[in-house]
Amino acid sequence: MAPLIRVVLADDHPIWRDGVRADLGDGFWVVGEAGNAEEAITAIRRHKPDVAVCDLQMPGGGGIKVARECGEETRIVILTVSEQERDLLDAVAAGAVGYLVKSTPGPELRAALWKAAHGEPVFSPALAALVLGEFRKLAKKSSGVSPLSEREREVLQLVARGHSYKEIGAKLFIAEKTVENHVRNILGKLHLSRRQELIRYALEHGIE
Amino acid sequence: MERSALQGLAAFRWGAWLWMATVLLVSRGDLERAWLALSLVGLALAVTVAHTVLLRTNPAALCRPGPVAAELAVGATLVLCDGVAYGPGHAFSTSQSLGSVWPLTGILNAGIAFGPLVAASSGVLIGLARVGAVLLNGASLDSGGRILSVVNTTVFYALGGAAAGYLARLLRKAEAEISAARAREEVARTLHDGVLQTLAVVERRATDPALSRLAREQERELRDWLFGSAQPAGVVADVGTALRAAAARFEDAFGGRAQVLVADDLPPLERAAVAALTGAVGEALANAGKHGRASKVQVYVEPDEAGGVFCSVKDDGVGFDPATTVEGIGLSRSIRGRVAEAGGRVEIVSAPGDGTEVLLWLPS
Repeated sequence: MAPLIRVVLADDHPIWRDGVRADLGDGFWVVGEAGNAEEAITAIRRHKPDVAVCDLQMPGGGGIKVARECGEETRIVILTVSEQERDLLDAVAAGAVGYLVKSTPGPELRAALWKAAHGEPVFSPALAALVLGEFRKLAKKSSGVSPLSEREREVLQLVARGHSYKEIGAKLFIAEKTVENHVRNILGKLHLSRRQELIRYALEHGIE
Repeated sequence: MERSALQGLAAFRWGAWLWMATVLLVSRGDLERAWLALSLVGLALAVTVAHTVLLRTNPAALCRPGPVAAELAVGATLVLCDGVAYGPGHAFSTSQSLGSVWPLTGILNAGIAFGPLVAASSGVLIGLARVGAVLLNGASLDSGGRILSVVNTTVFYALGGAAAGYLARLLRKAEAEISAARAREEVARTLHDGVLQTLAVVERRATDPALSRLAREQERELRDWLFGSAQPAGVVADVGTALRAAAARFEDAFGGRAQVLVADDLPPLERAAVAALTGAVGEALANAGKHGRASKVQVYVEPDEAGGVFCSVKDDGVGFDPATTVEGIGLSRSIRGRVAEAGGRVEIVSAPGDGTEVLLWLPS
């Protein structure tokens, strides 16, 4: 039997943690829980989980703070109520591997967390759409951020359109693993650009 | 707002009173009835002090008829007695001496309290007092120049009052709008953190599909109300709102889920193109439900490289073989026809068991 995936759950509503824990069922082991960003960071450092699930909005900084502090130490998946928020992009750019909406059904949640625990980005169509928009804006600003390659853009657009990695691989005649690599590279570019504070600059001086 | 306007007016009132006192001091040699002038200026000082005190203790009272009328009455009396306090020939030798500016504060206050019409009427009243002052001074309105002078005073007071009243009304309206927007934001934050979360829990944890669907519908309606109209006005919001409405119709009719993603940097579209886009997407959604029996549909819209708009509608339904299937009226007329009319093009990708994806390109 495959080893259990070790999870830290962080959400300021206990009912949510209960719900997610119940949904995870077998195959996952909730090693720590937290009600705010500080507790989450402490729990992640103590338990070194395979994946940490963090609410976007928590007292004391929320998922963005956790992603910024611990993004290098574990895979952080953000849970959110709303998908259209700029905060999501910030969280992912700060080091989260992706996010899930809180209404995600149990089986999808398990599948996504399993992927995240194994180092695959949890790239939903909504996140892909946000990232595409971000790179379009950056391109217009010619901010020096390395733009997406044509292939990366193609992959990202197919994710936004609702295709799975497998479908994308078949469509582009590439291996599923190659699709994953593209997605990881896209995330890398986003992280990198944010680390250079260039996106921040573009957002502040950009279209908004 | 009202309070700061009244505060400004209080400062103005003191300035006007000081000016009046200065004029009285300088022109004291011309006074025929100094006691009258002094007692009137004293009365004006009492009103000025009383209004300042009221502003500190009970500012709302400054907008009630009593204080407003009292100030106007003292102002009118000042103007009227100008003709009695000074000697004959004063009325047109200089302009008004007693309270030429001070009576204006009463008019402005009337404007803030009761609007432009009352303020303009108050201005006319003070103007009539000027006529009284001329007659009491023993002069007569026998030349065009004199009439013009009196009318000039009246117009000045009336227009000043009307402008103040109008501005106060505008400011009050703006203030009401701002506070409504703030209240809405506050409600949105509360609902977002509480009710939306709860609905999401119900949606996810309910074992009864009907309950889950109800929660989803409520969540969608609440979200539309909270965030729908908050978007900047314009084409982008129109496309997003229209497509979300189409997705909602699909969910209601077929019980599946439809997600709509619209980029926030779409180029502006002609009304006809928006209609073609929403019509075509609506039809694609209907096909996904009716023929594809899809449970999940993804609608995505972004700007394309040619400066137009790209849109995809992908479902997880049963799909069909485009080579052997004759396109129904829905596909050929409602999707292809509509989009072609707007100058765009359509591609349909499908295979049995693989779902269907409708791709649309529309020029801006």
